[in-house]
Amino acid sequence: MKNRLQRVRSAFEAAFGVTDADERARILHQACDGDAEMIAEVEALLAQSPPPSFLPTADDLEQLGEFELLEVIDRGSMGVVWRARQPSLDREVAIKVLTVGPGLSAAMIERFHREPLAVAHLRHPHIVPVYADGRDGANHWFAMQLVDGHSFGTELQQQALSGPRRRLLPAFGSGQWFAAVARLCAHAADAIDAAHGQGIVHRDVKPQNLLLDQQGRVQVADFGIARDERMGTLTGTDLTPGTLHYMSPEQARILQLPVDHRTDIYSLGVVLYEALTLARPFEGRTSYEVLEKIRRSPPKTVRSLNPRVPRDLETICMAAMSRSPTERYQSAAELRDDLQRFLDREAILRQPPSAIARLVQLLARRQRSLLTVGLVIIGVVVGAQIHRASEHTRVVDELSQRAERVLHGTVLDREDPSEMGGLWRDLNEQADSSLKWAKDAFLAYREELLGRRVEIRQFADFEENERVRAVLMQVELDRRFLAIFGAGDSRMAARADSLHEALQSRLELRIVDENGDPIAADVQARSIDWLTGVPGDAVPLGPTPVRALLAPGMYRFEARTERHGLREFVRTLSIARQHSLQLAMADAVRGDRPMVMIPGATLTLPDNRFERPHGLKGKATAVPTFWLDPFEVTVGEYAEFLAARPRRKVPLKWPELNRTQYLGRPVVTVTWEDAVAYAEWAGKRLPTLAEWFLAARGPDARLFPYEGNDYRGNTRGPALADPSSATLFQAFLDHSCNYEEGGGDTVHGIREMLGNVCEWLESPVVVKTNVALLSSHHQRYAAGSTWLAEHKESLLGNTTDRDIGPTGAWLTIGFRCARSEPPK
Amino acid sequence: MQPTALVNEAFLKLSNKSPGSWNDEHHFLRSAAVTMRSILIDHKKAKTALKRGGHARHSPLDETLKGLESDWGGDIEAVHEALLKLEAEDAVVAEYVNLRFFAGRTNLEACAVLAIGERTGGRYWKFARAWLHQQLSR
Repeated sequence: MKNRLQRVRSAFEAAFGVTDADERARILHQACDGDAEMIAEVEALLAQSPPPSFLPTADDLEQLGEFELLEVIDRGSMGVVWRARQPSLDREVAIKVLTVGPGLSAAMIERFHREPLAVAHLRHPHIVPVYADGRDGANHWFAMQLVDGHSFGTELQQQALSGPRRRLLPAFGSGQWFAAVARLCAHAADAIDAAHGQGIVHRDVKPQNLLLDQQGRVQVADFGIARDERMGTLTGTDLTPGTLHYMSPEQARILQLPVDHRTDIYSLGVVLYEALTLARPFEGRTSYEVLEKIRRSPPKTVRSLNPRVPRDLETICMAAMSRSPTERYQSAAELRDDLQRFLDREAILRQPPSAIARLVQLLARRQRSLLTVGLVIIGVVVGAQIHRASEHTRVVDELSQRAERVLHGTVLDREDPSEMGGLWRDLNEQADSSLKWAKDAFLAYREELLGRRVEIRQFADFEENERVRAVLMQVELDRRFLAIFGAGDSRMAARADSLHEALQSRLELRIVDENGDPIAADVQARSIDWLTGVPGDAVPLGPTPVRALLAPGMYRFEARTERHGLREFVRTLSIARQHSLQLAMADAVRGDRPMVMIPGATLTLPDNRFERPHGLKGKATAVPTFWLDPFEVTVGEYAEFLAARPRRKVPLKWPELNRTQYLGRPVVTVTWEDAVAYAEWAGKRLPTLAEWFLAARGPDARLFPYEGNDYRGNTRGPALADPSSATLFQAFLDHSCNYEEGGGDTVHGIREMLGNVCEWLESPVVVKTNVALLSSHHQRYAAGSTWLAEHKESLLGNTTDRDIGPTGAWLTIGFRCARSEPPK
Repeated sequence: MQPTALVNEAFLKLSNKSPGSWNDEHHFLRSAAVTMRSILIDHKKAKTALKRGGHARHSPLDETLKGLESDWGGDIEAVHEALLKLEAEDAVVAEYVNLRFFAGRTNLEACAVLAIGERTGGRYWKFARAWLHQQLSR
């Protein structure tokens, strides 16, 4: 049913563009059902003529100059790259377009046009030529040669894939690969040397800017942030753009040195490093982490990551990547020549650094962090001695102990800021000289925070699109600083926290009993690790009703009252949303059979291709003690739940299942949401994947629920071989079992983990893509094996990813419940 | 900075927080558009408040704000208020406007996110512009 405004819109849409007055009146009369007031309203809207500049947005482009735009092939913060056709010369070109729109400054537009200007002066077989430059209305653009292939960045991704690949170079790791990469870098170095000869520094050399054609020939592209000595610097902008991972230390302002052409040599060294190892030398989740690594640690050597890399190639790579510009190749031509010598199997000019030189290098880089740690340790020791030698008041004594406790854990960033703040204030009230070490440590930490803040600001200037992230990081840092040291420091101005808060989930949480009446409970939240599905430390949210700001993500809420004991609820909070949760605590813990304690242990899953859960395999996961149902939830148990919840939708096959003779069978065709609702009604929850595996397979992840590595055939299935079952449902009835008929008991007496039905779990699915692991929140794991399983050799392989939601119901999937504590 | 860049950044920021939890790109874009809007409105409010105190500091968001407002001399707070009204009555159209105006998406992209036809999106935009223009000129 449409509401009034929606009807107005329909009428508006029907009459829009109709110029004939009579026709328009007729359409409006019909669309508005003769409602005169509504007709007038629509007429008024049709009479609106907002100027073109009203609500500026990006446009859908079709044509620029003579070029017909075909498709978007790349999208960056500095515009969009289209594949386009140039009819006059009957050829395809690439067009880079920057649309004037919200927030585009004149400086950015000027910078955009610098690229064609810079490249126009460069004629080189390994530099992408520019054809034309122009402006069309709000769109600034330039056309360049379309390189029919993909970037070296894409090539590296393709090489990293295990499946079928779309690659233009020989396979990674082969002898031809090393030669191809050396040749590619030599060509790129030649092109860059030509640019340097014209006074142009590229400043953004990275795999994405090295384009490969179908023959694997390289062309350097994207001189978008190149610096041309003849053009001078841009007025009003002191930006140091570039991509952090490939940025030289002086460009990243870790070294206070002028940035010259040798920055490109460093970046090309990083490209070579990545090509030889398929790993970037400095990796981190945030720019700040990357920067810290560039600052603190030397990269792992190439051959430690890939021992097959020829020694000379490693030497060339590490020389190009030398921290100090003076230690690098002094021109791109020198780098090119050494690469060529490698290709020609001649001796290269560079020699690998000696072991002692490496050590000195290492120490110099670690010096700063060592110094900080050393100071604190010395401080603690000295402080303790003074403490013993002289008479102290009780207050000083206590304070000293607190300071030792907080400051001793050298990673101060992990200490609770409010506790640190309290300590700092207390320290300042005591004039006792024996506490000076602690004050000094605080002062040093304060300087460090301030220094880091300046650094965040510095690298925030690198790229336009780093800025928001920087603002958010700065807010975090400022909060910490203010919590510890207060607002007294003039260098740290208090900032609005609105940005930070805007990204959080606002949570309002009420706890009710089974009748929906509010009850007072104590609530805490555990953030569920997206990778392992294991809940983290409990964050107390206090007594209900709870109001809190939480980071978006999946949480397990634990509510507790004297009468009920513990009840657990899993919910997902999205960004920038208001969540009003009402959680109902079950009156009692329900179920036909007593739960079984599974003692906590460390689950170690081998890292092989047979194991499905990417988040758990190949590592040790600590699983705390929990309690588990000895059998799947039965039809009979589910019937009780439905009787208590008459308005709940019944499972797909419920009418056929709900018969006296099947009451002991596992309930199936339940959705994940059904399983969760049942569990909460029963005062329980679903097990996590780690818990389920620990219960079924033990800490060493054996292949069967019972000891021994063979299939005993004493669990239910497989049904496919049986021709007597006319339908799948009949096969289910023929081959599923109740508790008494079941088997395959684990050491703890848990039944039917290998047969009967697969079981819904709490944990979200972790998917492996070619670049990273991702968690898929619309899927959950269903673990175990089923009455229908074709290959039932072991517990491997039949644990599957299943979509959740109203249609996610199968004859092969049921569930059992768990609890973190024994029933009260 | 363009809204597109801002959205991409918001995306990076969020995927850092809990990597992988936003692999549904459409879902992300819808949330990001909402987030962008609330960030900008908050920023605008904070800025107005700061101006009164005389301590306005330059922030990267200022540029975005300027871009969204300067071309037509408008006030995004007013757009925001009007959109709240539209949301209550015609949520899809409001979300469409969010995606186009606050998240800087093209018609094609916005339509893909909302799973509507390209021409439907075009009609939404015509109506929304007329309706918002009317609301704002009251």
